[in-house]
Amino acid sequence: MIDFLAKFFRREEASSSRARERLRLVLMSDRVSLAPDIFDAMKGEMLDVLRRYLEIDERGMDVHFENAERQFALMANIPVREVKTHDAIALARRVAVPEGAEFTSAKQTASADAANGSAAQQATMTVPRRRRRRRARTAAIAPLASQPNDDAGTPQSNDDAGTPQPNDDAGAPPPSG
Amino acid sequence: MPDLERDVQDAPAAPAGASSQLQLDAPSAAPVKLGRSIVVTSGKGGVGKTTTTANLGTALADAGRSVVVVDADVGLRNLDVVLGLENRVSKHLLDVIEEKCSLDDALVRDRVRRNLLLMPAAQNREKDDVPEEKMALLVRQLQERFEFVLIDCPAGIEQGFRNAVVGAQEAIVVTTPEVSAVRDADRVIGLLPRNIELKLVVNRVRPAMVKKGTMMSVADVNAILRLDLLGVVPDEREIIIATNRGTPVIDIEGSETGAAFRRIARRMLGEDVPIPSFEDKSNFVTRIMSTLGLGRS
Amino acid sequence: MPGRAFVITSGKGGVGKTTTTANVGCALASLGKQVVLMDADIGLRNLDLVLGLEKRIVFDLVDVAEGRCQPRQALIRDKRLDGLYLLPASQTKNKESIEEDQMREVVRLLVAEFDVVLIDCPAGIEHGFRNAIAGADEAIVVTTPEVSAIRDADRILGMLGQRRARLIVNRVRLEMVKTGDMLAVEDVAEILGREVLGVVPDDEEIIDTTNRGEPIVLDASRRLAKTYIAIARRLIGEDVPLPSFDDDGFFGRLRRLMIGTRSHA
Repeated sequence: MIDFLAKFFRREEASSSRARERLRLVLMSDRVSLAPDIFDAMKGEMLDVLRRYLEIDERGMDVHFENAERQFALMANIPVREVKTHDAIALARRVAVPEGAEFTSAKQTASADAANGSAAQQATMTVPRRRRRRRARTAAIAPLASQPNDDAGTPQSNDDAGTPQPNDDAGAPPPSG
Repeated sequence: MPDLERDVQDAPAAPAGASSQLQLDAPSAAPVKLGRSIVVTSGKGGVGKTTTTANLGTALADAGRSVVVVDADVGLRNLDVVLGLENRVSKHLLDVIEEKCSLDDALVRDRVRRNLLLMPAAQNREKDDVPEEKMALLVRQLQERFEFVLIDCPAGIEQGFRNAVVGAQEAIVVTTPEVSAVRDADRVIGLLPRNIELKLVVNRVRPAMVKKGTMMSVADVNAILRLDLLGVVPDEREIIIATNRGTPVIDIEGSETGAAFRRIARRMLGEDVPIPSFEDKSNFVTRIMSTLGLGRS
Repeated sequence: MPGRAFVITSGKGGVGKTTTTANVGCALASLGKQVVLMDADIGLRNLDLVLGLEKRIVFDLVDVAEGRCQPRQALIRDKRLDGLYLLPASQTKNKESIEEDQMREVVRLLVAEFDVVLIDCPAGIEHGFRNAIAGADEAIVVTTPEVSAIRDADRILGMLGQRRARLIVNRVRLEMVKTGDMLAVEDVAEILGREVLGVVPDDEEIIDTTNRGEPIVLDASRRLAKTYIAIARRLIGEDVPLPSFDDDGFFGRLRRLMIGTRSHA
C-alpha cells in the first residue's frame, strides 16, 4: 500500500522539482571536479584544523567526494596515530583562535573557523570519540552544500552533530603505545 | 561593392587618434571614452545567444546608442542571417585581424538602423585561426568607436569561447529553463574571468508549462545559477517567423518576446524596469492541489 | 560481424542531437539490439543527464582513451533496458583533450562488441566535431526547419567526407508549416539534398521527460515514442514509411526523395 502510494505521488510529482533536484546534485559533482585546486585548498585547511587535535597519518589518508545514488557526500578516511595532549591542543588552538576564546564545543569551533574565512561552506563535523584503539575514523562528513545558503545551519543527520561525545575517560591522558 | 561604400561613408567618424586600420602595436593616442563590451554566452548551443545579441543590439540602437554586434562564431556564422544582412557581407573579422582590410571595410550597416553595425564572422575558417590577443585588440578598437560592443559567443568552451570572451568587460549568460542548458550555463560561469560583470537572461520560458510544473521556473533556475537577473524572455512562434524573415523579433507587432528584449535593453541603459511575472495567477484550490501532487499535473 | 557506428551531428547547437541519441538508442535496445551511446561532448556533457544516468559516472571517455581503465569499466549499463549502455564524456576536460586516432580506437573496440554505436556529437565544427566523426561509418544529421539550423547542417554535410548521411528533421510544427510560417520537411530535404531518416514533431513533453531523466521512448503511451521506434527500425534496415502528416503530396514527394532522385554521396 505504501509502495503504491509512493509510486502514485512520485508519478504525480511535477517534473520541474525532479529537474531541480537532479540539477542540484549534478552541479555539485560538476563544480567539484571543475576546481581541483579548490578541493585541494579545502582538504588542506580541513587537515590544518584536524592537526590541532590529532596526529594524522597523511600517507594513509583518503578524502574524496562520492556521488552515490542517494546522496552526494564528502568521504574522509583519516588514520589517527595519536590524539594530542590537552596542553598541545590548547597551545595549537591559542595560536589559531583569537585570544580569550574558551574551550568551546566543536560546533562553535567550526563556526569560528568559518568566520575566520577558512572555509566557505559550513560543515558540522563530528568529533571522533576517544577510543582506546589506535586508529579511529572520522564519520562520513555529511553532504556539503555547494552554495553557502543551501544547508548552512541545518543539523546533519548524525545524532551527535556538533557536540563532543561524553567520554568515559574525560580528562585522562590519551592511551600510550 | 558600391552599396557598401555608400553605407560606410556615413559611418560614425572615428575619434581623433583612433585609426580605422587595425594597428597592432600603436594604441590610440587620444584618450577616448570607451564603449561597453559585452559578450553574450551560454555554453549550450541553441538557447538564443544570437537572437539575444541581434535583438538587444537593435533595441539599443533604437534607443539612440551606437552599437556594433560582433559575430564570434567563426565557421558557423548566423548573426548576419538573423539580422537579414547575409547578402551584404563581404569582408569579415579575420580579414581585419590579418590586416587584409580595414575595420570600415568589414563593418556592415543595418538596413534600418543607421547606428547599428555588424562585424561578421568568417565562414570558411576555423576558430583556432584567431589569436586571442588580436581579438582583444579588435574589440578595444570597436569600443573606441561604439557605445556598445555586443559579442555573440559560439557554443562550447574551447578556443571560440575564449576568443569571444577575451575582450569583454561584461557578460550576459543566456540559458533556458532546461536541465542541460542550466548545467552548461553553470559550467560557463565557472570559466568566465572573475573580473567580468555577469548577468543572466532566461530565455524560452513557457509560463503555462511552469504553472503545470513541467518546466522549471525562473526562480528555480536562478536559485542554481545565482546571478543578477537581467531579463526573462518568453517562448513564442514569432521567433521562428522573425528568423525566417531576417528581421529582429522586436520589430514584430505584438510580440511578447520582442517586448521582453526591449525591456532588457532599457535595463542595460540603467532604467529600473521591473520583470513582469508571466505566470498567470492560478486560483487557491488549484495551487493547493498541485502542491499535494493531486489533480492535473 | 562488427556493429555499425553512427555519429549524430548537426553543426547548430540545441537542435536535438542529444535527445535524438538517447531516444533512438533506447528504441534500438528495445528492438533487441546491443547498443552503446557515446557522449563526445567533452566538457559539456549532457547525454548522461538526458538518460538519467548522471549519478553513476565513475570513469569516462578520456579515462578510456588514456588507458586509465578498460572500456568495459566505463560503460554504464542502463537498468531499464537490456542491451543499452552509456559511455559518458569527461566533464573536467574539454574537447582538446582527446585525439582523432584515440576516438577511432575506442569506437573500434566498441563495434567489436555491440550491434550499434551512436556517437553524440558536440555543436560546432572544430576539434570536438572532428573527434566525434572520426570513428563513425555513417552520419545522422539533425536539423530543425529553421534557417540557421539548415545553414549549419549544410556546412556539416560538406565535412562528412564519403560517409552516408541521412537527415532527421526535428521540432516540426505542422500548423506552422500549413500557414507557411515554417519550412516543410520536403523543403528541408531538397535544400540539403539528403534522404530523410525521420521526422519528429515538436512536443513539449520532451522537456518534461528530460527533467525526469526518462527518455520519452520508454513510455509507450507518449506520442513521440512511436516516432523514435520508427526511426530505429529504419536505421536497422526495415522499410518503415515516413508519417504522412497530411494529405497533399507530402508523403509522395518525400518518398521520392528517400528513394534518391537527388542522390548525393
